[in-house]
Amino acid sequence: MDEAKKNTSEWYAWSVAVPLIFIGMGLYVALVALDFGLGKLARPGPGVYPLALGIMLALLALACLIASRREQPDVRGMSLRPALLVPAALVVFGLCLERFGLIPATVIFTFVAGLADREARSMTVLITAAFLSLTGVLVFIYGLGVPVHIAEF
Amino acid sequence: MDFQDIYLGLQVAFSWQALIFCFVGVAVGTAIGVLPGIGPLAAISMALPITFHLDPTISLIMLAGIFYGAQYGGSTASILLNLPGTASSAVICLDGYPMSKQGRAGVALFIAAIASFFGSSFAILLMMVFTPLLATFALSFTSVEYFSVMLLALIIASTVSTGAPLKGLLMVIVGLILGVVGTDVSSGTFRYTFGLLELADGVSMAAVAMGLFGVSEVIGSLSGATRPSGLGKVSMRSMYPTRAEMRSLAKPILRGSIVGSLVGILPGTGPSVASFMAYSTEQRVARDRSRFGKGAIEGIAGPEAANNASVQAAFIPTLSLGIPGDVVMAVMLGAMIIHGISPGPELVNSHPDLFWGLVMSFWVGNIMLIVLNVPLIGVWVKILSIPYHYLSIAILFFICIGAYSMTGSPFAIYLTAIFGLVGYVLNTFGYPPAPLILGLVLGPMMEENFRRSLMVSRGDFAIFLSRPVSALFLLLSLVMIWLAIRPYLAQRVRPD
Repeated sequence: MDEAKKNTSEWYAWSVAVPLIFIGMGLYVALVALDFGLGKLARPGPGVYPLALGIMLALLALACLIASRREQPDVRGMSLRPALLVPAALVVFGLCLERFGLIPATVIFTFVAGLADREARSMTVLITAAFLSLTGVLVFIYGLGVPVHIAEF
Repeated sequence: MDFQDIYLGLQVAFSWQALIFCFVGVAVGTAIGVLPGIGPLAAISMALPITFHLDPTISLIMLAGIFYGAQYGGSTASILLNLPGTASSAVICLDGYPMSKQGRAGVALFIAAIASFFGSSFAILLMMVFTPLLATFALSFTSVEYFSVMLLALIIASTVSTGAPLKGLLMVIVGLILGVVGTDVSSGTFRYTFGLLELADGVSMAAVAMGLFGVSEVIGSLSGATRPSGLGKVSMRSMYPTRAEMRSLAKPILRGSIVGSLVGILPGTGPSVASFMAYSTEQRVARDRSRFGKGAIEGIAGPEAANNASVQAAFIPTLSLGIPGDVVMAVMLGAMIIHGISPGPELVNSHPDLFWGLVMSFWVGNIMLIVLNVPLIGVWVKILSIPYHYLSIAILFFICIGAYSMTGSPFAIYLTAIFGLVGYVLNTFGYPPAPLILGLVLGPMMEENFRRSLMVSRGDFAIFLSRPVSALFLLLSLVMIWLAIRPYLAQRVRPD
């Protein structure tokens, strides 16, 4: 019960934060657009279209903010663990790929991605890492011919 | 349409490469359709990087195969597990799962496959007749009409089927803004690139699609419940319906095909809307409504014909006008642009090999699918028992590889990661990510047409209203916006 209550209040905080972020984004886009040059109506410059979009985004986000007070919360809330670890696994793969080569990057990637899944056993992760390293080398290097080293230290 | 065109299309569709990639497409499509948790969008965006290395016609044949293949596979999990494999087959659960509990799963699967085949065939025929006609009509379009019709398409797409019209509109605007990022075509100004050279060519649509639909779906499934077990076996002998049942299927399939085709042609509405509308149509015309929800075969045949028809019919506006019928079509349109093919009414005449080759490959693909889904159904049922752990990590891995191989730099992987997180947050708070992709793909074309129109009229906005076709599109856009915000205004008057 407490868990659900905590999720609900968290959800409300976020459901206000998301439109606020969009309002900020709209204002930023509109302000920067002014610098691109608006040109004349007969020859619109590169700033006209983004200026209009920025203003529309801010207004729509404001409308969403007002409407958000009536929303039904999603009691499942957000699961931060996979939400952060899954993108992190991708970033780690990107960072390691050119530095250490494909197989080390794949192994580290699988480990981080495995952390995202609470039910994954270490055995599952090991098997997956081995399987993916093999397919990666076959598909990526021999199949698509992408110039990446298999392993590099 | 004449026989020369069809002959040309058959030549393309029966080339070895086309046959192989069509098969890969429909097989992958069926597999991801069968698996709950991954939709056709995720699979198509994952396949996008691979298509960069292929001929444009072959890439479209494969991507399309994934899309319509998924509609076949989608009903399998609905029938056997009461878990929709794709959003568009959710309604199949209503009567499919009860049939499976009565021990008639095989019959339900057979009906779904047959209805899918007829629904598709109906819409492909429509496509062969109407795409060239519509394209000829649209040849008179100028930048003014294009701007207005794109505006209408975006508004319909964001308001009709998303369930949250305000948020849908907001997401379209975000997509349009992302479309601005990069070098401005007419002035060479760098816009919103934050000094990153990688953004000079714009935000990669493939990376955004993989993030929003691939990565965020994996996050969602890892945070959700695990898959239930308890699968039986389906043998081919158990699949045949009785003769009376076969006869009673004809009308629901025809009704479903018509409803689905109409929904598919409308911009912005996809197979999910089609299958729900077909189900309610079947309920309305039925003599005995109480049978629904207890294993009525029309409840499978109608919607299943409809979602397949809508998928094929969605190609009509996409290929004749360059206006995507739904999100998947927007991704396909993006794929065409990446290959340097500008979508629009000239496409049918200037690339007849592409258009007719694609159409003929639909026939080939649907015949492959009926084989895959009737005699080989057991293979797909087995796929349902793969544990999700292996699958989700493998999906992520292929996304990484695909993103890297697009440009040979890790930047696309980082972009995909960011949009994965963004997509998950947006999904949780009810912001539909699909309109964003539509905005991103259509954005640059819209801006170009907008600026060109104003240049032609020397800055006079009246040009958008003085041309009748454009005025009609704008009027319809206004009506759609009014319909979308009316419920919000009504709430304010009488709060409850």
